[in-house]
Amino acid sequence: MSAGRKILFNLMKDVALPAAMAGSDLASRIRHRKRKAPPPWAGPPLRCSARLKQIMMRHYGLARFAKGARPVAWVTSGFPVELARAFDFYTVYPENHGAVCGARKVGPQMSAPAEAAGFSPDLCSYARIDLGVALGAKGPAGTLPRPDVLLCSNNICQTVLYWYRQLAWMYDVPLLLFDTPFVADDLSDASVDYMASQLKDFIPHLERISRRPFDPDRFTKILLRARDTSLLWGQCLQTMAARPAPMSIFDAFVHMAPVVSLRGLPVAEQYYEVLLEELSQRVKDGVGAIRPERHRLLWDNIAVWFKVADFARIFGSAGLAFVAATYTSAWAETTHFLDPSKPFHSVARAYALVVLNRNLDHRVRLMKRMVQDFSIDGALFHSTRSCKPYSVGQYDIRTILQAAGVKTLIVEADTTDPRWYAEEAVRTRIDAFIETLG
Amino acid sequence: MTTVTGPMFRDATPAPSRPDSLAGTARSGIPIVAVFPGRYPRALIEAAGARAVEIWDPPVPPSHSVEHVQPFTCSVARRGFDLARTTRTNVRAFLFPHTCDTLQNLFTILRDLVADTRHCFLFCAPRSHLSPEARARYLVHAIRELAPGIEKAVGRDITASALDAAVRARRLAEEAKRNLYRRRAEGSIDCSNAEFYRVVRQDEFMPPEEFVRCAAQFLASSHPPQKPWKLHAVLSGILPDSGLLEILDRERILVVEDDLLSCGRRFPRAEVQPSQDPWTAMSDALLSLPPCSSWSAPLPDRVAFIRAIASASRARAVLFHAVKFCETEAFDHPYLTSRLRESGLPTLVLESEIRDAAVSSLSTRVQAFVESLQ
Repeated sequence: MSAGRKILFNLMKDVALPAAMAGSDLASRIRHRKRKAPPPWAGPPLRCSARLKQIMMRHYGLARFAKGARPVAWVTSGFPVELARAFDFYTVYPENHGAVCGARKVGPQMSAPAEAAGFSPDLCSYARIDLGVALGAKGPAGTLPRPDVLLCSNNICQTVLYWYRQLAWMYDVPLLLFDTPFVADDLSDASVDYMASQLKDFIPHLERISRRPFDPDRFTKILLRARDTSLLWGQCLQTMAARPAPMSIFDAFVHMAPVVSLRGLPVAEQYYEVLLEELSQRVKDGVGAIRPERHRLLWDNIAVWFKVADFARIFGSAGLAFVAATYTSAWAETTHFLDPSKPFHSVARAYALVVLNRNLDHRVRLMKRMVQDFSIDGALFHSTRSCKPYSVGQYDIRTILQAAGVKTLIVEADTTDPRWYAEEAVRTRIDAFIETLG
Repeated sequence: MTTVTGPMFRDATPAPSRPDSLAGTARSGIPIVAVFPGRYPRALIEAAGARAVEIWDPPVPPSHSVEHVQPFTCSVARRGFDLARTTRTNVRAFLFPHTCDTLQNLFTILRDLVADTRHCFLFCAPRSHLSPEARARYLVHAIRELAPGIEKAVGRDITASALDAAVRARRLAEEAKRNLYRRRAEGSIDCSNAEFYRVVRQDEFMPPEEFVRCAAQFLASSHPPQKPWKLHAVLSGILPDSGLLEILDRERILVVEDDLLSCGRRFPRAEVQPSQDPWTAMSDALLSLPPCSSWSAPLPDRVAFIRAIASASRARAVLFHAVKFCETEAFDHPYLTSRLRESGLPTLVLESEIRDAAVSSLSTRVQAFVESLQ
């Protein structure tokens, strides 16, 4: 770490970026004043969206100045980031960056350098985008700081492990894997011990890389904040059980960014307090995201990032509100296990029991519960080539939900790569699905 | 199902083919545990008096899998699933080594969603390399955790003496395989690639003592090649695809060593000092296996292993066979090929579905590769 870089980082954090944000906020307000009214089927936009945009812009903006000022960690979405926060790492989430690139529709151009280097176009498109970044691709969020360490957990897929092994080679930095054996039945004590021992083994490595000693009290505080943040996020999602739902899952796909990538920081917790307040008020006032809300739907899998706006329009204009998703709830489901009195073991438990690390019967039960709790009429399964653990099994889950009276639709697509998306075919299927809902 | 004749030994004794062997097993009432691709403690199954029969590339037409799994899953998984849903042999259980995300989900589809009446188990080996002690401890636990389920499925307890015997028998089978590979690398076996791998792959379905006998017979009847081969190469990938082997035989490329998950990555190249405790011995045996993508081996270890076997077998090139949609292997190819080329080993990556490699484009690429080396 250099003193000059630290001064520049702090200057950007405390002066330049807040000033730029204020300017951007002003410009945004002016634009909003001029913006035409939302379409008749859509409720008023969430006020929090502007705040979210600022938070994420600040995060990516500061990332450009982080190298040399703070230790930088690239982290998978399922890694217990609370431990890294205790060492003051600046964290970058390549999956979140991939989603941003997907939403900006630059997935294929970002992954082109990786494909040219021999990475197959059949590989996960988040991974291809990120490997593309490592090979020089410049994305909409600007340059990502080079990592000092890679923090990876295979609780969401094995793909992140294959991917991060490549990053470790490309950036020549250590890779710390939090290995979470798949929970086929119950989570065994031996498995929890194995995971907890890995977390403890990380400490000397993180101390060396960050040049900062481990402070158990600080870790505990961060753990508590992360737990509270996730619980708040869960409460935000729960507001969508109301009729009409105060936001749609397409909003939630965007508003989940802080719980994924800023979990454990005060800014994320504060954000969800404000968001929850706004959503609760909308529930009280009967303000819905879709009006009128004719049917309520469940989304399974990651978003089709390059089609979020189109899908919101197609379904919204038909009065169909997506009010629950297995994806967005993943960051709210298991955090109640976090227990500061048993930090390592409780982290192991919380992170091993996420939906993608458990058997498919668990997912079926979760979805059936959502059908009940959120008064679901239909479910859309995004079968994405990029995520096999999420997609393989959907055909059977669909059959089970159909038998339970839920109308279903499978959309074959990808998270960020439109080359695997057949517009006409998908649109025809969506139209037919909307018809069956009546 | 077409009957595949086993390789003919020089004394014209036909080795038992897979269907013949399985039919014999079924007739004798020996329970079968069918095992999906990957690495697992085979001695545990054999100690329970069952036969471990591996499912790598069954010659079955697409059937049930189209209704259960997406077309963007690999053909190894899809064919395996089709076989699992149609097989009528004495299969008591399916074991899924946790090799990749697709196999993980096939396990839970079969067990939890389509509710196959036979037992299904998942074997999760540790992937962390940070602490060798924690890794070994967890692996012993994972093996032990598997035992009660196997006992229940097979209907027989695993006794200490049976486990000892099974571990010893497995070591002999590994030694037999080491001999086969050593002789192949030395150039003292005159047979096609297809024939060599038919012998090696008998280990996928034979009990260890039978495999040892067949391997010994094969070696006893072999002699140095009469006709020179154009190129000696190492083959890397998931399994020795029959179509690809045909192409290599046609183009006179001899596979002198391999880094295949189904073959060369499943026995240690040097003998492992056996532990007295059979559970630890099984764990040690697995931990001493060559580096594998499916167990997240560090990339430099993989390069070092491929270089070592290439050097020992005097291979002049490395061929990578990528099974379409296999992420486990595909992620490693750019690193492996660049590092191997840097060390003077030309490489070629060929991609196909399994049992679909005998297409002209692959053949043309192989020809062009050989020409480029001459």
